[in-house]
Amino acid sequence: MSETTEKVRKTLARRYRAEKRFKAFGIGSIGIGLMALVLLFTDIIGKGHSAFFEYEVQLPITFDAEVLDVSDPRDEDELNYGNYQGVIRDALAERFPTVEGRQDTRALNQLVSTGAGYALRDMLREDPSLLGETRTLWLLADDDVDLFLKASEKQREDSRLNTKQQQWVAELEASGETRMVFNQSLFSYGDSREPEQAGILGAILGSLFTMIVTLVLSFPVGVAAAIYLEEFAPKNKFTDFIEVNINNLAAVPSIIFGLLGLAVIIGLFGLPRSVPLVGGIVLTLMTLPTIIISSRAAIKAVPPSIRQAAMGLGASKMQVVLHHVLPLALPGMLTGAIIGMAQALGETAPLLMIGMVAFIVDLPAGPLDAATVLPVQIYLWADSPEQSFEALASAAIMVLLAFLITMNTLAVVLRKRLERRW
Amino acid sequence: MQTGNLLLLLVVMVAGAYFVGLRRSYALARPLGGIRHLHSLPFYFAMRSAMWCAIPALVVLGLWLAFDDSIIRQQVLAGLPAELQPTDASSYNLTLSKIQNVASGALPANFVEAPIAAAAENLQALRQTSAMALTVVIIVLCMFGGAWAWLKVSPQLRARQQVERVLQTLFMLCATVAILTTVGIVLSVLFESIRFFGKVPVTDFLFGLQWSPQTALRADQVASGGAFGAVPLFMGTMLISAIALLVAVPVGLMSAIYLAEYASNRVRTVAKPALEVLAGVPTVVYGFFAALTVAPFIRGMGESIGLDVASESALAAGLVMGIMIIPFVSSLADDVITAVPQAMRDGSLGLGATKSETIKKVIFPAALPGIMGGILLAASRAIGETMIVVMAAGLAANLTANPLEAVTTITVQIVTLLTGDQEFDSAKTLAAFALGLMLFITTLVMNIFALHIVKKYREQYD
Amino acid sequence: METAQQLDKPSLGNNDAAKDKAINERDAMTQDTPYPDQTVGQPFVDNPKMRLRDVEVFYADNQAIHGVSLDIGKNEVVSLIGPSGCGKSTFLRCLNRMNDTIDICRVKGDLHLEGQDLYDPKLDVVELRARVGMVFQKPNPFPKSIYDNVAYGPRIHGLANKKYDLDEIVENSLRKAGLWDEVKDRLHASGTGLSGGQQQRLCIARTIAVSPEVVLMDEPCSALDPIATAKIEELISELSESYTIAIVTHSMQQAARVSHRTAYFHLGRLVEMNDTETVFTKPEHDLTEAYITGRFG
Repeated sequence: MSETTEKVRKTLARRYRAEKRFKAFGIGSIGIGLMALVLLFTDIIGKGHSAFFEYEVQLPITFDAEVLDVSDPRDEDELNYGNYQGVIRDALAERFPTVEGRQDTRALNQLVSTGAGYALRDMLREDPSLLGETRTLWLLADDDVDLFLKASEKQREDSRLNTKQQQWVAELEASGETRMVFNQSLFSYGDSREPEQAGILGAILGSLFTMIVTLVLSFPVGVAAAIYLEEFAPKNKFTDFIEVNINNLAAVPSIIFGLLGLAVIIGLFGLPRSVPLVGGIVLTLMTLPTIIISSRAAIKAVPPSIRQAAMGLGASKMQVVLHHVLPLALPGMLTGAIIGMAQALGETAPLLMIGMVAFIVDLPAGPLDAATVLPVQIYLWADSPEQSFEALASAAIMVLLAFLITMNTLAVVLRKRLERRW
Repeated sequence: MQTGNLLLLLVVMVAGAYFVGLRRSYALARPLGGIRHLHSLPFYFAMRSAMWCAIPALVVLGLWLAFDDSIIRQQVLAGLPAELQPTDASSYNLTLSKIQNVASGALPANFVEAPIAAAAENLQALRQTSAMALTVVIIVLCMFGGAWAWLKVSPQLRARQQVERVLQTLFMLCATVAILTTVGIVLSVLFESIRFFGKVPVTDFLFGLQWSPQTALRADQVASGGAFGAVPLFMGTMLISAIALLVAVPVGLMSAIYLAEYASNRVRTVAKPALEVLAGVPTVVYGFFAALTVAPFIRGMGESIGLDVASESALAAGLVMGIMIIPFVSSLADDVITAVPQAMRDGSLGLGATKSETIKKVIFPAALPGIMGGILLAASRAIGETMIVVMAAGLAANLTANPLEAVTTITVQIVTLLTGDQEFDSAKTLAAFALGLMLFITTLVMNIFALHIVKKYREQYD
Repeated sequence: METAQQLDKPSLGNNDAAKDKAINERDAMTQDTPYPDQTVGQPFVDNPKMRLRDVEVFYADNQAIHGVSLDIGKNEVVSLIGPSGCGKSTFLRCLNRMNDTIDICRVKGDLHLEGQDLYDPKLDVVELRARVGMVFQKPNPFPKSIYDNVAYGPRIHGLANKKYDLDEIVENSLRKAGLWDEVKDRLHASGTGLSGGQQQRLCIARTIAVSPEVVLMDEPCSALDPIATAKIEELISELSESYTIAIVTHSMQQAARVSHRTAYFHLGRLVEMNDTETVFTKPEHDLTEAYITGRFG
């Protein structure tokens, strides 16, 4: 055995320990990353799943014309000013006849959501013959009642309901006068001060309009810019400067784009604040680099032989590009655009700058109506002091993630199905 | 006429011009014996006339819409009697919104001074005139453009070249949007910053240790003058970014090394996309996670061992930001590591080095410039990250290096200063732009430097 | 390892093309030449340094080496020649298990280094590679200083206890590689700054700094100019006094100049092995003759 072998052998144990350690670090690192992912998702699903359901309370409601102060339900004005809370109050008083005193009565009335009144109004509008009738109805519970019913025995001690309220709710629960239903208001309303009436439809519509504006602006401009840079641009200082700009813009913090939007688009051009149109323009500027870079990659992937073949037939440069290169590169460009859109959909910071952070109840009807978007809605709810909003924010996150996952899956599928390998 | 209707009209006219152009070229070709006697295909003649019809009109329309509002505003305010003339920025805004509200009917005319009501009427009238004039101008431009194109049509006309040149110019304009964006960013933050530095000296801003931007909203209000020393913000930003990098760099780097050098194909196909999911999660979700889960957890942990932890500790924001950056670091590191030629690995393994020795002593040093570039990019991203810190870091501008205390960052302050109702000209809102300028310059320098390093590194092995 | 595959695939691809070409040529030849089932000549020696029997190598389902048996004697220079894609490099890489770095590669057969089974699961590959060093086709100095390149092996293997010992090893290795006089004044300059020939000699110095028993060289001169090649060949002759060397080469002249014995590979089989002189003057097999007379290759 040679001297070398002997010396090497002495070091082996130590070196293999180091090897194992190193490998363990690697596995540990991946473990940390994956664990963070799992924690994030379980945390959000754990917090948010309950928001997809809500509790209702059963009450016999009498549509008393006098209490309501409605004589003709067909009169829209009268209908709108009807005292629906009064009817609910009467129903509650009837259900709990022993409750007396102003304070207790008010506490009792807090059990039902203020939104229940609108439900009664809508019912009456649908069916005017209800006036004077009594119906046993399921009414939306207040968010504190909802939280109390969803909570475990132990958590119930921390409820915001007072002792008497807790007793009443427990009584209703025991006699089957409460039930859990799918939270429809989540998907059918805009924001609200009352958690049980707040929904994400307004934010989803806002996001939709913003994304439409972004897509309509960024895709054609991005593709045109990519075509110019790949196919027409001469190699000179100006082109280099454009490239440096694109690469840097891709790494500029998104909030800076918000400042640009605020100072130039709102300040200089006088477009209104809080509207999806401005949001879409800002996000366009932000996603353009992504789209340009991926579109250029797609154009580069088209083999030169195709260009030469078309050119050999006497096609002009523009014809080569529009008839041959562009159709072949389009799937790759679309994939890039979808990924860019997914980024834009999750973006929050620049939209705060241009005022899309306002409290907006009405559903936006177009890109010029004040609106908020899904991520901003999440931010607003996460900042709200009421506990129910936390669950709502988680639920909104789940919806947002579902959109993002769909978009990214679509991009992957598109790439697999349409992209050609040369 | 409303802008939407005007656009619709424009589309109709352009389509008309297209078909007129098409028919004209066919009519021209018939006596010659078919379209092959024309210089270009009829399609190009049609496109050419459509372009002549559309482009001048669109340019005028764009400019008009961009500037008519501010011109009208000037006109209306100039028409006010001297005693109602706005003296400063806030009264300017107030007067203006009053006039606009009256004009839109939101405020009854008898609620305001007579001159204001008159101004509102003036505003209405001017707006109508402007819209009318615009409609007329657009129609005339379309007609003239279309007619010009129609007149110039001849069999020898190089219509294809003209159309292609216009298209190419259009493509070039699209490419310059990137430059315009940069210029727009620079100008917008620069102008407001200069105005800010007119109110607050640059040295106070850059070296001041006190940050409390609460200035008086109205002149008669009693409030502190506001302090705009940004050092606590810079320190806070650096503290949180440092925590984030301390998490992300080792974890991201080791993940990349393990996936590139050790992991089996099966592990790689699962772990790599899973890590990339982390990169696709919106920052607001991380902010939610940091503020409502991680921060209370760290606070609870600290309390259980007797430490006083702020509920909005720098640690919570930094940790979560680190998690967010992990995939960013790992994908950059992966690129860099796989770019090291196989010959390096062979050389080392052939001498009897173990895998980890090869990685630590050959691959890592060889990849170091690229990795440094990647870390720099990650740092620039951490500095510019907004939502996590807005939701999980505090507003209090503490000058501290203790990660358990609350600190605030540049981005948090930009958001706080600019959300909520502010007038546009106060030192408070302008300060946000000065911070934006700092942020932009810092990240720009870091990005250019990092991209340069990475590019040089790649060229070395190409 | 993905990178290994990626970097290896192109060369495999090239080999495929070369293989196709070789197959066509073989089909043309087999009409008058019998394909060898057994190696002709004298592949075996007494008391060999490396004893290799029935070596077979597979890349996934493709067999690259078919039952090769040969010996490498002590302090002998053996050259492996043959047309591109004949498997000579693959065979060489089995001898210090560099093929381990390619996932899809499997090796069968008995391979022994002085009675030690190379593919014994208990054998330590690190130790093996310290005993059997390798010089590669393209010079691959690490992006470190010349000194650190040479000191790398001794450092990781713990061969030198003091700085002084290490300095001595570095100087000796560089002297043996004939590079000392050229670089002694710039030991701390980067190894990548040297010329191609110097880089390759640096790689040889790096390999012998570990004092291996066997040095494998995989076409060490193919990327070099004639002058640098001459220097390396001179070096190989000098090194053969203290080391056992197996060299893969494309150049028959080189094989004739530097080696004691020559093995001719054809399509993954060992066709003929004999004294270098015999192979080049009186080849026994028609394929060998066809190759050395330049009818293909």
